[in-house]
Amino acid sequence: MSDTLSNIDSIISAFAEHGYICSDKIATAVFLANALQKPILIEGPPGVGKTELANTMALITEQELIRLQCYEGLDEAKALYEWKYGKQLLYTQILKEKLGDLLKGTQGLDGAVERLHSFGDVFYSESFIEPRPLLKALSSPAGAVLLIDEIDKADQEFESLLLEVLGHYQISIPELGTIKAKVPPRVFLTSNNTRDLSDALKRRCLHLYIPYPDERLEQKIIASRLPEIDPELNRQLVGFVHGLRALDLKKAPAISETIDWARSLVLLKANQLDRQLVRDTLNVLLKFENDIEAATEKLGDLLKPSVSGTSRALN
Amino acid sequence: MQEELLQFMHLARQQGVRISPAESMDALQAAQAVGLDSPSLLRESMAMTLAKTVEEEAICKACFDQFFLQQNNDNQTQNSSPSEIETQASISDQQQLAEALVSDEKTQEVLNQSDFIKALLNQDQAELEAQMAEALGTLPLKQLSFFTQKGLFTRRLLDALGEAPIRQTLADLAEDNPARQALKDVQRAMQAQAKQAIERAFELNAAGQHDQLMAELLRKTKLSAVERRHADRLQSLIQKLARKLTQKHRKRPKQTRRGQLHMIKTLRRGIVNDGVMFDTFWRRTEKRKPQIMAVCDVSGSVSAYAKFLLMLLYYLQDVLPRTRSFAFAHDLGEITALFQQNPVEKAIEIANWRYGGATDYGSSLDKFWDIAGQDITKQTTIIVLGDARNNYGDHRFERLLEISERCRRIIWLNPEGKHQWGSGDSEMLRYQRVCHIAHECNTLGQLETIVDELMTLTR
Repeated sequence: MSDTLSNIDSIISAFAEHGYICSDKIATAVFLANALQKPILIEGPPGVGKTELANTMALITEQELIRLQCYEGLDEAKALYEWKYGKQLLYTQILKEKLGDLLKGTQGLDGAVERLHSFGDVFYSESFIEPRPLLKALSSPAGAVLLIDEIDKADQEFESLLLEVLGHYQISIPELGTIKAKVPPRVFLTSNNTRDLSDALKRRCLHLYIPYPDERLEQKIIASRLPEIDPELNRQLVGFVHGLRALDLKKAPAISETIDWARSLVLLKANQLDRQLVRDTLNVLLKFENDIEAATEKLGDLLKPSVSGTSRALN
Repeated sequence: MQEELLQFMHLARQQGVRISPAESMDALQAAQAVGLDSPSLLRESMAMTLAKTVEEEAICKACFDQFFLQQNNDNQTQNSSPSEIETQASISDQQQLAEALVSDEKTQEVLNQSDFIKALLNQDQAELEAQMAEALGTLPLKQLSFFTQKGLFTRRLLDALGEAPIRQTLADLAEDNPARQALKDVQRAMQAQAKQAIERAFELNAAGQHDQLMAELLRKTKLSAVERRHADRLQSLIQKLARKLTQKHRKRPKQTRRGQLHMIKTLRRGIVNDGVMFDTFWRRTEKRKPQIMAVCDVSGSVSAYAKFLLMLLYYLQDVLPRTRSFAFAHDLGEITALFQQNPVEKAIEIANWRYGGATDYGSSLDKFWDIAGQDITKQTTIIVLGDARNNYGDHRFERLLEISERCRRIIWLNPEGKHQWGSGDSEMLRYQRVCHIAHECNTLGQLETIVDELMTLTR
């Protein structure tokens, strides 16, 4: 497992085995993250495989994937740990009942207090702690892949909370002290760049920007996800999607949408693109009415370079 | 190699990438991990460890190319193209040159003294580079920041390479001595090499410093005097400013009596009561949403400044959705929607054109009250930009008083210097009495401090 990650080529092939075609850049990031034990901060437009990278990583390393979805108002009780207050309450009740038995035979108040001290503090102990994703990732004995998804959606305060985890792989719990990871988790953070992250957070991470892939890479991705696809159709549809991305759209189609589209075309048993087919299935690629309209207008231009003369004769 | 990497980081830093010592350590570790065999891999790793944004990544990569690949290219061009074109000629030339130089005693002496000339004659590229690097090392290259310094640095480099004895010998030799001509050729070649080296050092060193200097100057220049061609640069500076400011500007949680039950704290409080949860604790995030209303004078006298405040507002409105903008001169109107629908340049032009003219503060204040009066709350900050020159009209001070009582604060930014306030038709001293903050504002630097102050207050 660790051998796989110590060489860039083997990283690429390992990811390919699990159906994730990664560029050299992504492989370099994974390699460096492993070598330097640093988190990776992944940025890029939605749907280019940011989350998928962490998923695949978990498959390759055969570690547990722990996912923390960020949202506004996320706080430490939901991200780090929480006390099992119900059980703590029961514990105090039991303690009250058993107190007489426990203190039997002690001499006076001083003796009772001394006996009480000798029990150790169970109230705030690890048995009453409810681990949330971050603590879970740190205490996992075999290490884990921790995915902190859409960190830009969380509040700025939450970022500072993360710094200790990202920098030293440890968490300080006031009642217990510092809990350090036995095996540092592999951390992936994703961001859609809806706001600027703090420099302190960025400093602790490797920065990886995943852009839309080029045509060749995207064809490879489609072919790996849909082995039954006709290579010619693959070439045509990737060319078409790249044409769409060049238009001024509200939401450009991402890789995941290209895959969905390719899948529906395969289901429709198409072996090449034509105007009618594209018009009928465009809603798989584009999610806004305005975008669909804009694309329909340009359909002729978009199809021209990728579709051969015979299919144009059909229209 | 470490030395080179550090130099590269220095260069990247000058080009605007913020690299802390911790990051440079990471980068060195990364370089160790990937090794130095593959330039593209090293380039990727450097970009990943040093850059924090997509823009910085691009800068880092460009720097990397400039720093490492250009050196390689230079080697290649010097190795291949001159050698291909000139080699045949030059080999015999070099031999002739060498012979000519040896023929005279004095030139022979010069030749023996200087390793650089020997390398030049032998076409020993590696030795040449080494000599050049050594000579460059003696110069304070970090001070090289203006193109006017190039001549001086070239001269100093030539001195470091040992050109002085050549000049001396040239003066001593007779006109028709063949050794003189040969020495002259050598001198010329040396000068060309030195010039090239300084040129490259300047490109590496000074380009970034130049940018820094410009940004620094711009912040100190009066807004009205900023030239048109710098507007782009200013725009990006303002954008940066607005982004920076909004980072600080977030809602903060506050304890109130209602909201979600905070079980843990309630439980902890209950412990003293034998576990009976008698004392409840509630948590709730109160959303305190500050709102900004900006009123901008766009009359002739302040239009140059107004343009820049409008620009700032434009970007602020982009990031603080609750900002409302107004423009006035003889008449007042809301330009929030205008800003939302148009790109910055066009929006500012339209605002200028629609509301420009002679100023009437009195009626503008009334109009403002009509349009926005009912929306002003205790969370509202009102920013007024204007010189308060009312053309001796009705000042309607009571209206401003009324506004100031209803809002959280009024901030007045006046492009005129403080000593001019109240002179002639200026009503500034009067208006100032109800303003919570009144500032002179005519450079971007001043604006920056004021907006910063505002943001800490608005919290």
